[in-house]
Amino acid sequence: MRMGKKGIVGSLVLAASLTLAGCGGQSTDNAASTATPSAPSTASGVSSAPASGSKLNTQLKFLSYQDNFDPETDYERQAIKDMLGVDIVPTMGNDDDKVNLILSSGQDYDMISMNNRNLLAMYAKNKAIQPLTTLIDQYGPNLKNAFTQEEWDMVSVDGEIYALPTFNYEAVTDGLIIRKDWLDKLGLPMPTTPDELYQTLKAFKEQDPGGVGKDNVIPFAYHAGEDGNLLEISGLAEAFGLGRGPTDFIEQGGKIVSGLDTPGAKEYIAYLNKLNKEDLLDPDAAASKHDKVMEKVGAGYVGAATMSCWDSGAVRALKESDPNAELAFLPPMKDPNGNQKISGTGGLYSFVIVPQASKKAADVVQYANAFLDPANYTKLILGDENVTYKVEDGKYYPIFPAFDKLNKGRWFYPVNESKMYTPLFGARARKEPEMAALWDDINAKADSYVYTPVVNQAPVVQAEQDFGQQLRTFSHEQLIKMMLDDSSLAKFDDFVKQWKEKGGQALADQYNEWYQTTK
Amino acid sequence: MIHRLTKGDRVFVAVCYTVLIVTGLLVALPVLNLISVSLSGGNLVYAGAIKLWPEQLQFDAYRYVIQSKTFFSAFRVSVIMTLLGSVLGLLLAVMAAYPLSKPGLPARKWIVLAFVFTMMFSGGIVPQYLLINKLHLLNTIWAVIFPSVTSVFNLLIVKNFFEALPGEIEEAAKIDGASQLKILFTIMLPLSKPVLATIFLFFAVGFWNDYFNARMYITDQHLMPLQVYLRTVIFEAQDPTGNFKLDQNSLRNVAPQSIINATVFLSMLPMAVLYPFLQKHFLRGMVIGSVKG
Amino acid sequence: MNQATSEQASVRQPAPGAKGRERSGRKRFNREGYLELYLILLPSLALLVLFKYIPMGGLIVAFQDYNIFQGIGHSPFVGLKHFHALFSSDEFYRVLRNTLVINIYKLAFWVPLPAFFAILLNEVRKLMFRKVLQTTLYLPHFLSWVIVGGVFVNLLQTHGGLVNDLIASLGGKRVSFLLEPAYFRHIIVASSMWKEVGWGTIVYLAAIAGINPQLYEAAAADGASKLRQIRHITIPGIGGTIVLMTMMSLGNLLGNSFEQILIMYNPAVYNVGDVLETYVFRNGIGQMQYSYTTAVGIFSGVVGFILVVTANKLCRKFFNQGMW
Repeated sequence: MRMGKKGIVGSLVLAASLTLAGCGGQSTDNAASTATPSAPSTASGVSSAPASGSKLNTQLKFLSYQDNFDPETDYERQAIKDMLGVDIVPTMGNDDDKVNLILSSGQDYDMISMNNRNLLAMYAKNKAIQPLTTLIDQYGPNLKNAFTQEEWDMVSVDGEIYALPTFNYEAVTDGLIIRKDWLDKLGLPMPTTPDELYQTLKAFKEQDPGGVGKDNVIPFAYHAGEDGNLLEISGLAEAFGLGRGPTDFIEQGGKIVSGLDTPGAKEYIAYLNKLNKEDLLDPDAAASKHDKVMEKVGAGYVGAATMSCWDSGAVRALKESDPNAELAFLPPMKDPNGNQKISGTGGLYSFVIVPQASKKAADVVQYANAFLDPANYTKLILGDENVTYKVEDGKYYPIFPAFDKLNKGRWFYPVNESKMYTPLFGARARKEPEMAALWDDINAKADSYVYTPVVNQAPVVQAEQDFGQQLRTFSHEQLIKMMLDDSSLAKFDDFVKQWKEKGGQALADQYNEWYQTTK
Repeated sequence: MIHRLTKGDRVFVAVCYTVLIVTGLLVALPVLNLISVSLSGGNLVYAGAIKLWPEQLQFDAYRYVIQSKTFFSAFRVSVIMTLLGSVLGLLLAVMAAYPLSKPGLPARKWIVLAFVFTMMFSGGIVPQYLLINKLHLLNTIWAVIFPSVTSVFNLLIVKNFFEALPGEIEEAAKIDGASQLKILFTIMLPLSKPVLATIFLFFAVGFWNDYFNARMYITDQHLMPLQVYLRTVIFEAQDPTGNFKLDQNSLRNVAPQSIINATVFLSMLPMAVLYPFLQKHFLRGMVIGSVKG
Repeated sequence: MNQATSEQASVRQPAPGAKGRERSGRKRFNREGYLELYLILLPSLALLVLFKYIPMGGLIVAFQDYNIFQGIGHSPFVGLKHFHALFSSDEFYRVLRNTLVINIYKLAFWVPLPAFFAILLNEVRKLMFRKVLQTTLYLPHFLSWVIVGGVFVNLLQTHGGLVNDLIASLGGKRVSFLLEPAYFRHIIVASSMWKEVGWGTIVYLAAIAGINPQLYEAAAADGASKLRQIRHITIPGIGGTIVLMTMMSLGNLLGNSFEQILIMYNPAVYNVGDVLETYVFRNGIGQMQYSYTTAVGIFSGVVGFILVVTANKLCRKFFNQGMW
């Protein structure tokens, strides 16, 4: 090898690494120098009008998910500017790896929306984001009232609050549906237990009440093809004593255990395996994502499936080809003791952090505070009564075409809490008659059975940071295989053992530690 | 100039045509499906009932896309980015390929190796991002253009082509005392129209289709190119939680899949049209001319 | 290769005495205009160094436990830890095997098919017809795998897929193509060819356009049939292009199918379909495992580089052509 070229390349690489080492070092230096632990940053110049109640006058650079609206003419942006005096500059694309790079290179966005709590802990520990506790104490009375201590804990690290939370509305949107007209045709009642469901599916297969051809009937369709699917069927899995799926953590005897440690896990997977073996499950389930499942429902082949209230398109498609078809949600299946449970939508949905480089943390907190002010809230979320929305029987309905302007409004919310939001959300849920019907149907049937998965409120424990992703990947592969294949199912105990070794036991132990402190 | 074809030749050409037509059909069918779905009524699309031609014809999907200001902004950004990037890329490729196509160039082997090496080793997103940031190129089109403009793949194709050209032309020019630059631009390039058109096309398609770089380096909505817009539309339409459902009410009878397909079709149209446009440069025989003279 | 086609060799044989010319040093250097050539080369080389070589310093994170906030300078050095983790993981050999099998399988078709179709297209003389055919053939290249994957899923699904409907109407039993390990690799290769072969013909058509038409005329005047002309003129003429395209595919032998497989695979076919990139993606790209993914990248790069250098040496030896 000639020395010349190698030497040149070699020294280039060396030079490059030194340069980048310098780069890395620099950004850390910047971070370190502006990381004043909990000192309020009111003095840092740019914000103004700190008294809550009067309008702010500020511009905030907000980075959130990618969306397609015109920043210049968006209604919500203008509304926030007019009502709260805050000009939000929309910037887009908040993928995890991108945010990592943005924060580590010290760029001065004022607010970044995220939903990965593992990263929150890491950012806090590395001083990439600003703590907000003091600012909230000072400027955020509405914020403090909106959330409980447990809810604040979910966005805190070592006792300091590091993000403004957005909690989702509380309702049920996903559940099992069934072809009611098929049931009626066969004279069968709505199934209430997994066993009854099994018998019903068998009847669908053998008797083909829809007349689509015995070869074409898909008694049960499921979106096992979704990325990382963990066999979660809420409304069914709970009937086996599990959470939403076999790997969910549940409470048992005052302790937190993994669903895999209960007999219900094997029974549940065996149940699905049986469905598959007897041709009661869609043969393409493992390759079908949700919209594929809905396509099959809309085409009229499917007897039962998991569906959400947003799939009104499938309802319309079905009705067009068969006006007598009727889809109805099933109430959650009963477990051996007659209990019914189904998981809802509530919980932490996303949160907003303030990068270290921003000088407007106080403004961000004030914006969020003003947002939750009841005087502003409804108008910001739904617009003007009887112009963009109306209220009938205590339910909210949108008025079209005026409501279209608010379609992308959610992008701008800095914070949200579910008590105020849930009823208002009805306006979005009732955008079409079919969707409204589904929404009302499922909530009527399932509302009283909603539970919150017990670890939803837990902090991000170390084991989750270390092993969470790998565990889920591992489980995804094994669970699907066990559903499809007997020899895999026979190795169930091996799977559980491996799951524990790969960090599952550590996870359970750490959650349990936390749980004991909350009692 | 055209010799009479033998019988064997005629059979051969007929076979060629047949194979091409059959293959063309096989390849075209899914594209036909794509277009048909974009033009069909919502309920049928939802039920997956559309195969090769549209049913319940509707143009709302295309109307929706065309009326979207964001679509046109993204389209414009992509056009600018593509044009700038392709011209720059072509220039750089030619200017590197020409010297490297001369076997006598000292250290040629090592320089080519240095280029090829970068095809297999890359520092990854982090160093690249840090570099773009340090150069203050974030949120500019240059952040998307520069990383891709040094395409070694394209360079090698041009180099390959130069090497295959007869050497006498240059010799003649050198004897006349022309500088290398002059030879390159006044003699080599006019003879290289096929490869120039090809590489321009490759760069153009590369920039037009770029998603990764734009996603990584750009947050300003005004600079979002078409591919990012498209992915967002797809994501919106497929998202089951309904928070994103596209303008629900005005599109009651249009399935999200139709919107996706309409967007995909309109996005690929410019590129699909570009090549036939350039195709006149690919005809056989354009190379010859000056060799004799 | 006979004299008539040697002009079309992709690397010119240096005229006798070339070695002598190289050794004459400065005088020759200026006469040949080498200094000027270097200057012409400079902009491209400079950008290469700036945007490709400087970031390469980042490869060092493969030997660290890189923390993006501490930067390269302050992240702890861990030597070969990540490489060790990669090679000793349970799935590594399965994943490596799948990657090689699938990519070599693809290569076997990717070498001849675009050239084959380019030659066929070249025989189409009516310009309009040719344009239509060619446009049709390369359209799929513009569809991303997100779309194309969906196309093939639709085609192959057990209920409602065209292929299975055809099988059923002929009395056969429906096959779950998407979930059967036996079919998966074939589906990947076939769909990949469907998407890319048409586009691949473009380079070859450009190469064919560069062949001296007089060669064809001379051959036709001598009474050679089209098939013979193709065998003796066209194919050698594009030989260099074939070599080039093959070598570039070799350089990427361990990567290359990521997006496609990510869209089209599922756990039922992991044992035959999971490749290096999808495996790495599932196991940690989201969790900021930069060091691990960089280590895998180095591994792929080393393998690819060795392949390319070896292939180049072999090509020079047997065909007298090469990239350098």
